[in-house]
Amino acid sequence: MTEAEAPRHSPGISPGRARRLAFQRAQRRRSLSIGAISTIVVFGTVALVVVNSPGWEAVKESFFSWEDFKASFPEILSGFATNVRIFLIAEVLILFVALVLAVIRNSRSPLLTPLRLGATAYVDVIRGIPTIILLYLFGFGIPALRLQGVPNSQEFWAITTLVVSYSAYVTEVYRAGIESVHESQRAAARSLGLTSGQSMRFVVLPQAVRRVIPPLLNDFVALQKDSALVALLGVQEAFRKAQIYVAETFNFTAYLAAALLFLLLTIPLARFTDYLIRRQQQRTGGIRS
Amino acid sequence: MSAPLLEVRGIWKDFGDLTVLADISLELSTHEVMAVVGPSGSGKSTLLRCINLLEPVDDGEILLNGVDIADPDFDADSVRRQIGIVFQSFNLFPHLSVLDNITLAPSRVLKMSVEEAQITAQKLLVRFDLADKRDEYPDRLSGGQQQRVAIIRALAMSPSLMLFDEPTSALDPELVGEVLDVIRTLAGEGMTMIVVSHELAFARDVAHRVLFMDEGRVVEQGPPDQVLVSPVTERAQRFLSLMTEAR
Repeated sequence: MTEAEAPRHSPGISPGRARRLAFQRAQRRRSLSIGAISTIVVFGTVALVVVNSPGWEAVKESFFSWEDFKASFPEILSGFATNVRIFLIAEVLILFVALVLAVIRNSRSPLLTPLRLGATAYVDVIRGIPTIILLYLFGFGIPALRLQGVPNSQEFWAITTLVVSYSAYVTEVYRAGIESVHESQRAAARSLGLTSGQSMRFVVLPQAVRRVIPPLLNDFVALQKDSALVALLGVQEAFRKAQIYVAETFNFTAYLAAALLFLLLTIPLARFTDYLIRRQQQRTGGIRS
Repeated sequence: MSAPLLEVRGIWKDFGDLTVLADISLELSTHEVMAVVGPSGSGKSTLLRCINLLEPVDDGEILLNGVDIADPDFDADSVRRQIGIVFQSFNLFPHLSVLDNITLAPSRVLKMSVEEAQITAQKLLVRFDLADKRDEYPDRLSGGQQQRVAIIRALAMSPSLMLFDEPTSALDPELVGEVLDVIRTLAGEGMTMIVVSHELAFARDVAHRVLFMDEGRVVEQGPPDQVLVSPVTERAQRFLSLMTEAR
């Protein structure tokens, strides 16, 4: 092995290397300028066509009115606080309920058979029903029974609906994570004398949860949007406030104001999810046992 | 000679239509090292997994200190903590640091205090030259280091028997030595062990007895100089000449 003495780089910049570097630089410049020009041309044309189209003034007036935006925004923002409260509470409950359901679905204990069947049926049934129907069933149906001790609060039933609906999806996300942990991890844990419950808790679940964080966040982007559905129960949240403003003024800018608030939350969360997925791919692409 | 620590009597194991272990019997005394050799698919790994009760046997007895642990009514968890196993693919817990990999079972199964478990772990890490890796995560270690941590993890439970399932097969050639050295050290200290390995020179050097398996059966059994140098059966002779040719 005498090659160890061979130089790792050309001494200085050789003519061959310099020519290649110059070529790469020229290529980068070219693709950058082509990209910039084509973007300007395309978006410029679209903007020109839209602004010069016959209905533009009317569209601008009823969707992009700055006055209406300013007038409606404070109310909508205060309503949005309700959305945030609803989905934060719902998220925490969903994470917990779904984890319990996923562990039950993955358990092998015969004692848990009825629970396992129940959890499977729950996931199958709930995933197949549109959230909006659940919302009407819980939000209008149950309070209409006038049962003793059952809360009447619309917000309570709104949160319940979201938890019931989303837990079914999130259970499956967790379950996929649990099943993705290789059997050899369980074998290693059992071989050390850990019980099957301990193996699940200390070895399988921590790995499973880490792996499903990106898809979980994805579901929470959807949950944040669906918190607007509860307006149908009359909960005074952002969308409901916007509806009220639109009904009074016949100007639709208020809906855009509400949409903007949702975007301010969901876009960063979606970007963060992408970042986590990328990081995970890099990790698993690296050295693994 | 005292009663054997481990006595396997006529165990059978099927996977579907395939019989993986057919009437296997063996005896192992305390401080004894047994090497199990044979072509791949001969049931060597399954034998270890059965002894550790990771796989239930279909028939036969496995006596540990005279108690039949293969009895379906027996508490498997209590046996597994007495028998350590080291896997071909290490199977360290990737979400835990080296130290936490080692202390998990002592603290959760043996109910050691955290400090006590950490002291035990630290001693083992120092002894096997891995003290500087205690806070690393497994994927930052070389294969050889990972396998040594896996051995320490099993040793931390103070097992009365250690099983090694092809501990060096997944390693780059230059890393094999450091793992074999650890096993050799343990043998020197009188640890009772069963080692499944393709490292025949190592087996000859360390083992007191060698078991040659083929197609789920024990083909030949005896001292290393007999089984690994001048085997009686034609099957063992053929395997041996293939293995030496490959060198």
